[in-house]
Amino acid sequence: MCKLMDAEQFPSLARLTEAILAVWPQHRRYLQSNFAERDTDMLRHSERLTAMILRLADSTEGGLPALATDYRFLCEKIILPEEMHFRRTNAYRLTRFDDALEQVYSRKEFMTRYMNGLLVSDVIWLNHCRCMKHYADTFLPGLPEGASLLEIGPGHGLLLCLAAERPGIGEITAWDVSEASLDASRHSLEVLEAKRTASFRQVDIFDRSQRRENDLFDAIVLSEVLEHLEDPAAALSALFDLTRPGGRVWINVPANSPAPDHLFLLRNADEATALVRNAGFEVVESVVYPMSGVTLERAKREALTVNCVVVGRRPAH
Amino acid sequence: MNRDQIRSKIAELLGDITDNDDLALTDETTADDVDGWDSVNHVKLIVALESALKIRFDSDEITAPDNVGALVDLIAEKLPSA
Repeated sequence: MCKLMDAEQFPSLARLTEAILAVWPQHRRYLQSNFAERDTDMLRHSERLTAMILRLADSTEGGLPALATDYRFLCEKIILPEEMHFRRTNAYRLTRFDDALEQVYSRKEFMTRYMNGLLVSDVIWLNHCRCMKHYADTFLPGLPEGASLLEIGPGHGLLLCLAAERPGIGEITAWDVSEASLDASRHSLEVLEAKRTASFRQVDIFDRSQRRENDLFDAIVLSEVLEHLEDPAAALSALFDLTRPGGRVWINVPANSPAPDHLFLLRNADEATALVRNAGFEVVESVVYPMSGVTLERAKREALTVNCVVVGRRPAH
Repeated sequence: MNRDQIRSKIAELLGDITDNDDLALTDETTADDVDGWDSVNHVKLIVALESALKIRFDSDEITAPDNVGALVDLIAEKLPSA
């Protein structure tokens, strides 16, 4: 069987795809067409991300084979049943945070596998990979010198690390409601030997009493968080208050993307743009990335998963 | 329904989904052999079969069939005996 990736040109991608095919040989056709969609620039970005993921894999129990196995678990055992439910009912299964807490977040072993699978999806699923590229190659370079940056819900820490690697970014802060999640993000920065660390703080953005007077940031990042909330508009309103006048937000939210802990069903990119605008931001840019193997037109026609990236700016006055 | 009728129903629904009016399937046909039979359309096919035949698939069963013949067998087990 021929190798999927050129190991000399893209050694990390070659290792990752071989690890996936070792546990899931039937995924070859998907991977082949998926990587055929990527131009050289996207392949270089994918290689960079994959190198980070492989380093994180080394610090994960079970290493790369466990990550590859959990990626298959994510696709077949976590997302597929939700996709079936979505296609049958045109709705996500859960709508209440308490239900997600009970059925998903409180299941530690399940969550570990879910998060491991999602880490791999950041490079394999083209919509995820393109969002990360937009963040690294468009949003971060567009920030003014010394801009302070807050990421809310940093998860696996890849975006934090990309910010830490970027010259010109000022102080970096990370917030999450969960101390365990913050520990995971902190661990990632250490393993990836990021050029500098971030300031971590346990904060619930809906609780105004937890905010400090100097909590104002030039850039705020909210990636794959809104869909987990019951009231995304309230979250964006809180973000507006935390953004320095003239500052920017980078919002990444999926539409038509069933998952066991997704509560807020966004139908299309226009709804994402409207959410950001209604919170008071000027919309600077709005881009849409369809799932692997699907054109934007088909995604719209058939209500398939797309990621919506919206860059907003808080008016200066 | 006998096996031939089930296979014809699969061909009819898959043909609608993939915009192929003349889709011919055998028991040996796999997803790789049919233009447009990707993972998205596979889920749509399963949901369409559920609706048309009044049956229900478990998510574990959805990825299991290696070819059309295995899918026909799976459906035959779910249909009430004539």
